[in-house]
Amino acid sequence: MKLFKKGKNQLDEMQEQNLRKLESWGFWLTWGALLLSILIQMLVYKDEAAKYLKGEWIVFMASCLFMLVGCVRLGIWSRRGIPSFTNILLISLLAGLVTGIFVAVYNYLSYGDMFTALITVLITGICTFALCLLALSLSLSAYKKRRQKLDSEGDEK
Amino acid sequence: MSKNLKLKAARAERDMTQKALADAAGVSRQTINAIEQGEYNPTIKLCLTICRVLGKTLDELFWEDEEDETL
Repeated sequence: MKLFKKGKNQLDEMQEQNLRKLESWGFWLTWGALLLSILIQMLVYKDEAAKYLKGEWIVFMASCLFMLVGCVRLGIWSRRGIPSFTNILLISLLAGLVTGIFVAVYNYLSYGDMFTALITVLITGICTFALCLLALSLSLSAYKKRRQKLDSEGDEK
Repeated sequence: MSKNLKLKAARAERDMTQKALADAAGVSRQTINAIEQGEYNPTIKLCLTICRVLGKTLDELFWEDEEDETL
């Protein structure tokens, strides 16, 4: 019994589009679930988290890198976001704030010391903000270069 | 997107079922049904294939006036 027809796509264009939508949803659901699982395990394992989360972390970062490289190559920034410095500054601030709050809860639950928790919020928040801003600035610059190249390709005559 | 009644009429004119048109165009019946119901916007490639099968032009089967598009 043949399971597959070699080389021939069995789907028509509508089925192909529907499957791609489904695959996209599947990817983002898995991506979100993986992130959530990492965060929960960090809270559960506390200081030993790094020991248990290496695999998940590598898969998560690989998927992020895959999407980043793919989007830059295609000259796509995002579906709704506008590629501007103001926007990446706001996103970095938000990332710093969210990470700071997460680390504060994590530290407070681990050590029960409010002062230490607040200090780490500041340090982690600022570091996350700076790293996010750096990563997003580099991505923005790569995106703009690629966009310019793609827009200048081909004959307009 | 509004229903594509022109496609349905052209198919009926040729006495073709959705299945027969689907087979001739190399797609599933579900896709032909979705196009007729206005639930799927086919690519120009598929539009041309359907036009060839039914012996019609793109305008005859797929042209929509602006007021139809907003329906």
